[in-house]
Amino acid sequence: MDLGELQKFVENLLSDNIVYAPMKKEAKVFVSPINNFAEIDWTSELPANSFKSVFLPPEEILWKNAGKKFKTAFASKKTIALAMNVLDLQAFTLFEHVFEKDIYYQRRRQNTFVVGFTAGLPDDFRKYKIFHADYEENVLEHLIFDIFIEKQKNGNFIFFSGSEKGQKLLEENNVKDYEHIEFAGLVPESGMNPRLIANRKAVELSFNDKLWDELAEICLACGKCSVVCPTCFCFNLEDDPQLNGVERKRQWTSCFYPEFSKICGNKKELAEVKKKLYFWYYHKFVRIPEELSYYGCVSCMRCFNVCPVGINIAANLQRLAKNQQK
Amino acid sequence: MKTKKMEIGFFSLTSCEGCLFALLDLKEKFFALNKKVRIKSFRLLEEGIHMSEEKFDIAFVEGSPLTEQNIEQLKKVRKQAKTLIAIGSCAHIGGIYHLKQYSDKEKIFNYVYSGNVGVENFDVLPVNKIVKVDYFLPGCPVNANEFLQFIHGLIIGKSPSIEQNPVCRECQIRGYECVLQKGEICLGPITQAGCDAVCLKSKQGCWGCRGLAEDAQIENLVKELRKKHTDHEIIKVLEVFGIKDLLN
Repeated sequence: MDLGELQKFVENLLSDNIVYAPMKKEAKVFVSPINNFAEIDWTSELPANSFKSVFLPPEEILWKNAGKKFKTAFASKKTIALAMNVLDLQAFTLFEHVFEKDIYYQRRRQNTFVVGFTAGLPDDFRKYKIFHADYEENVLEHLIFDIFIEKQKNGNFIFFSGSEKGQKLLEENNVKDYEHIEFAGLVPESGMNPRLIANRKAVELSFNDKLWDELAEICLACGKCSVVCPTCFCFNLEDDPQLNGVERKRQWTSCFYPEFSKICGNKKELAEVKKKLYFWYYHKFVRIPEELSYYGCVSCMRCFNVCPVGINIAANLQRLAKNQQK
Repeated sequence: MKTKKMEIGFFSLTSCEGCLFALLDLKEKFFALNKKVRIKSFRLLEEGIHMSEEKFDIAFVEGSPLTEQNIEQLKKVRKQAKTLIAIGSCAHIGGIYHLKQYSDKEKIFNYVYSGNVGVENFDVLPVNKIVKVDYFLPGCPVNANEFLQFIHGLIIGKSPSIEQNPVCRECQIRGYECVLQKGEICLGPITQAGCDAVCLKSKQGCWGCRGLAEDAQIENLVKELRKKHTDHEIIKVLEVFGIKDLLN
């Protein structure tokens, strides 16, 4: 498929869906709602924000009641997450498992098509080898998506389907030439990624490492890292009284915020910054791998990019790994 | 059983009355409250000044007690109301007038007014230094939607609270440019959220009108700011809404 055909395909999608895709704005790429093909950035540059809010909005009303009437507020607009990079697809694959039994997430997902995209490896991917970073051949087998588009060196595009839903969408749009890839589970046949295991070990018993004290001296606990993180999925549920009845709201929260671990009597498990930082890393590098044998961090480095004091997750992991070997 | 409507009143001390205007900007949503409460006092909606001997279930007070008359009114309202809620920066932490406290207030007075013009020159105090305050609704001006949420809660007997997050949360969710990363002074990381990061939307760093967030990492922020700014520059921003006073 050439660029003209791709344009036609995307324009078809745009005609009756809300489409989110990477878009260039002031020298950076942001995931934004798109109105026409020309707005989409096909360079494979990692967007400053992730696709997280397409699947889990920062704030949503789950249900409301007025008197005896009870209304579940399900999102129903057909949406397409277009040109999702591999890292954001990994985060999405994690969400698919975490929210497997969440009806609110699943209803939205039913009306959402996930279209991945790659234009080859980012030039600087070796810089982050502390993470898993194995862009090997069968990476698609372990990702969840409906459609995946790969830009080849000759400028043409090849298509893959990852679900029946994706196949149907391709057929409906007269794309006949595609390969189907069956999801083969989170863990490759060769076993869990060795880096995943190594990072888990490095973080697990590190609470007494000086690193955490040093970070606590600079961290502002502003939580920007966790807001921007594509895998941070913690949320609050709150019942919001209205003039008549009540609304149940779900909102993103973060372990960096005081309300996160507050219990009766205003006691907080995570009262100090050091504990917050360690907890954040522990969830990503120990608990998620333990529970799902999967990545809790997809090495996008967005947390570093937004940090006002420059806390570098890759450097911190490297240091913990080194200290652990001692 | 038909319960009696809750009776509420709104009172202004010295202020721009911007908080009450912010509430009126809710338009029909504000007046819809009439279904559940009786609004007995709201100067901007009345012809004369309301100083009756009535009782209130809830009194909302905006502004700073800067004159003898203000202080008298505040004490009276406290006696008349079961619940007193201080709304807006002035009532919450002293407001812009508080700037006066950081210099010689006589000198400032003489600079602004020439001679004895019958203007009082009190120390600027937040409302809770004079009377007991049950709840605070921060902000300059107050966030009208937060006010609605608050009063809806009070109507059903829920003791309301506001979220304890820093402004950075709301700023990052909206994808605004981080002015702190750009090297400017911003109090977002230590300031109580709830403003939807409205200043950051216009690339204006946060000055902390909503007061300090719980567990604010003040020392770390000051350390970071000192890399690029003099103490004088940092203090100037900390003084705008009196955050400097809250640092200990």
